[in-house]
Amino acid sequence: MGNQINISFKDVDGKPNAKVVEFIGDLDATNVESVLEKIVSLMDNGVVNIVADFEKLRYVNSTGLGILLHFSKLAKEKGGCFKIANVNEHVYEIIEIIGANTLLDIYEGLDEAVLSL
Amino acid sequence: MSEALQVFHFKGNLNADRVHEIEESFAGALADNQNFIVAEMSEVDFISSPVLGELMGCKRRLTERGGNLYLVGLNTENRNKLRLMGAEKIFEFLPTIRSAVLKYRWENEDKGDEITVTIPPALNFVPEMRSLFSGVALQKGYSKRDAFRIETIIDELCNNAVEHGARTPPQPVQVVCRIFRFHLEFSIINRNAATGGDGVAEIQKRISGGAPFDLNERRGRGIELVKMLCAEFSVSSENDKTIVKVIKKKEV
Repeated sequence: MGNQINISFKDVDGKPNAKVVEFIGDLDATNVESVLEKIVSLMDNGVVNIVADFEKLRYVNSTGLGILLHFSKLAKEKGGCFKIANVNEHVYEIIEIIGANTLLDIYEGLDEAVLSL
Repeated sequence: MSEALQVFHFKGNLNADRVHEIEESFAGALADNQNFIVAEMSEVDFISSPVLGELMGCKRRLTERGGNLYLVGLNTENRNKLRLMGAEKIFEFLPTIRSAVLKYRWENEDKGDEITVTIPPALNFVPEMRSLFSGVALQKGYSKRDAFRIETIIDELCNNAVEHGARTPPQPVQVVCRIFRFHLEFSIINRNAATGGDGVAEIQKRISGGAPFDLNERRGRGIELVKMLCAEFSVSSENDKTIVKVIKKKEV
């Protein structure tokens, strides 16, 4: 029972305080705590510029959206940024319906998001 | 068996010289104003092209009258042959007469199908629930986008029920789904926590727009999402139970 989400980290060339974080699976109430822990730990260790690659993120609910907003706020507080790329159309619709697209920094492609760092 | 359906059992080789016989059977049914016909083929060894043509003609005549012809029980060989001839674009191959009856009822009586599932009050049961109901919606002809929206609705409402329901002793969460051709109705039922009345009043306030929605606040995002995705959304308290009801219309 429960739901799986895997996240993996990739370095960004020439930017030691930046990483691409790939989300794979469903982000929901059963796993937000573990994701929160990993991303906050990353930021606490000085990686304050993050691009979240959502190409393989199938689903997100309101709890998941909540932590995305939290990451965005936290990164700004630490002088960095939290950007999102490759959002599938269904997930984007949920983000848009709730109005979170106005607060989150969303890019169509990963390269575009990384270049903006 | 529905009286509105007439079943023809076919047997053996349906070669070209049986076209006339089949044509007469169908003509008789049409003359009797029978608009829904089941062609039961489980004992058919071979279907010739002229017979397939006759089946297609009958299907067309019935469709023009608002009826249908269901092909039932085709063996693998016949099914594959008909597929190769493109008949799958015209007919939906159904496995049994019962499945034809259910399809007829689904398409014409619109009484809906009901599914009730009860889960323990634990968040890790919710993903299976949302997956189940989005899968049912897909099977019933709803779009992928609708299925995703249904997944979201079930997820948010079940999470709320688990988080805010009574904990001592733990009380199950029940989801009742009635699925129709063009809409779904969900009821999510759980036992109130001690503060159940206040919780219901708060949700009612959010549904009615009486409590302003703030995206930066932790609470209320799920309810706001459900509100935006559903045509109707209500919550009530009966005895010691909280009942949330939503209606989701099919995307057209």
